[in-house]
Amino acid sequence: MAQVLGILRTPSATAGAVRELRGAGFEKLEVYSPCPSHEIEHALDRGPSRVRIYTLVGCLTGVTLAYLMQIWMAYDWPLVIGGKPFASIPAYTIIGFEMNILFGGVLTVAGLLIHGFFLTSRRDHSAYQPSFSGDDFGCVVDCHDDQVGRVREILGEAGCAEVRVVSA
Amino acid sequence: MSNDLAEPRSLPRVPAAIFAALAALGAIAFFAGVLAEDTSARTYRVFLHNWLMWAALANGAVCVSAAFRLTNAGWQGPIQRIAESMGGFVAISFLLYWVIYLGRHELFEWVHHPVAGKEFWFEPGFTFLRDSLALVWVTFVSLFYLYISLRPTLGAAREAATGWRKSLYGFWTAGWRGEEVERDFAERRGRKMAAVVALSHAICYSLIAIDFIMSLAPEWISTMFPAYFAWGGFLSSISLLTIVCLALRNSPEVVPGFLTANRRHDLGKLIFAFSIFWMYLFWSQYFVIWYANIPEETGFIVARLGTQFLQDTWYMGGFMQRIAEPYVTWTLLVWLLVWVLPFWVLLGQRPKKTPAILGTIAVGSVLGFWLERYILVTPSLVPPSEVLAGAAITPLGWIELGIGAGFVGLFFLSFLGFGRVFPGAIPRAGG
Repeated sequence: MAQVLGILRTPSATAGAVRELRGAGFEKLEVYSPCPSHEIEHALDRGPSRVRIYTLVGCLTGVTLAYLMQIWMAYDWPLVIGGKPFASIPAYTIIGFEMNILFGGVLTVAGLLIHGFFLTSRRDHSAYQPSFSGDDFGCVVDCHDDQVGRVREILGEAGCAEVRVVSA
Repeated sequence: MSNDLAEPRSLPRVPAAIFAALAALGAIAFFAGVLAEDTSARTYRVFLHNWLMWAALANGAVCVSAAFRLTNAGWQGPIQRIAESMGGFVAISFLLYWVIYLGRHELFEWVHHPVAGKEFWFEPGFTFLRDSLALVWVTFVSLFYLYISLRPTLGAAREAATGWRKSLYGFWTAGWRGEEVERDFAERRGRKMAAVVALSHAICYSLIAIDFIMSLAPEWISTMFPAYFAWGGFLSSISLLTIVCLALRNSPEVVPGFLTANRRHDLGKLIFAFSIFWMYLFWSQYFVIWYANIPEETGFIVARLGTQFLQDTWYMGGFMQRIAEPYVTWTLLVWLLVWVLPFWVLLGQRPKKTPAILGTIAVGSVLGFWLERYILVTPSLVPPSEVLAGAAITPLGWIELGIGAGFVGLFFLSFLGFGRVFPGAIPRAGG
């Protein structure tokens, strides 16, 4: 397996390079960008993030727990308030909503960390260089040795300032 | 946008004939109902709730266009013109308002007896004067906004137009300064007018809610209800806009493929988010009424949700008896259609992008609003005590369906007619 790195100057050129590469069948791509860019994101088309499932589970758990907790508390220490039943559901909606947000938020961060640290395959970042956090965009392509020429050609046409083989 | 130009055309024959037939049906149902002694009051009642639905919806559609401008939205494309075509109905709803004035003796108790403690506010002359002025203002503002918004699109058409269109275009484009200048001007002036449109909708339709809905149960007090009603107008117009966009998405005359998956996603997001806000407005009023339990406030809720209103504890004992009370199932159906289903179904991304699912939810939402207006008006005039004594609940009776169909027909005739003169998205004759 070889790795080819192309260095680009603008987000649109990077997105264009990604589109060309994917069109030619190269799907093992890694893009380094100094700033977030929707254009590159759309070009990579990685699908919706899994983190949103954590948010949904967190929200549903939070709202259920909040109601259960309040009902349990109301019966554990019964007090008549305002002539209402001990467990008065409408009054619990506010805390239900807040626990929904709290659990949803905390689990979203947890999901982000879990996916960022543990569930991503350990990628090889040897092609990274500090200018990718400055003013350059990097596009790294994993390909077979005999495809290096083709990848170089595509990256060159896409307007790369520099193309080099990182590892062969 | 090259296709954002007026392209005068004739009415599409088949849809126009269908909507004209519906409008005629509505007129027949209305006159048959009004002229019969025993159904006269019911007919005015039905007219009132239908008028409330379509007047607020039409002005809500102008607000949708204004909202696009105010938020600097770039995603909507031709959807903005479709919303503006729907907004053309504001002129007709203003004319129809006078029918309510004619039926005031059948509808409003305060026309005959002063309301204790509110004699000043519900003095009939004062009430109708302020409502007429509010409607004159809001109609003027909405039409002026449409004028500003559509003016730059008429430049090419006014050269080619003949007959009555020539004079109309001539009037709308008086002092024409070239398309580029006009577009720029419409952009700047339109944004200012958009703010006025949004505020006018909120203020005037809140007033309408107070005078035409809350006044039916004049002892009732609520500070949130007017905002809730005005917001309903905005949300229902977004639901109807979604239906219209979906219905026109394969029409050969609109920009091909204008309703992309991303735009469906965005329309779905609007329905989803604003239905939550709608429920939130209701709930924040309901909550304090439930908590304080003061007779002046609970009466309105009791008439619609039953003597125990909502189940307020966690066990469901007696649930069936509660929903068997008059109007309760209809009220719960409204919640199901306008909030519960849109919330749970449109939660995900894929349902929002799937035309069949999004369309079903939007149709449900519009139907839900139609029933909601019924449930806002009727229980005040035919209270549950009368229903228990034998009066019928007929949200789907012949007068209700007939007048409802009449409003649908008139609304879409106006929609088609508007698109006939101004850029909209209407199919050409035979298309």
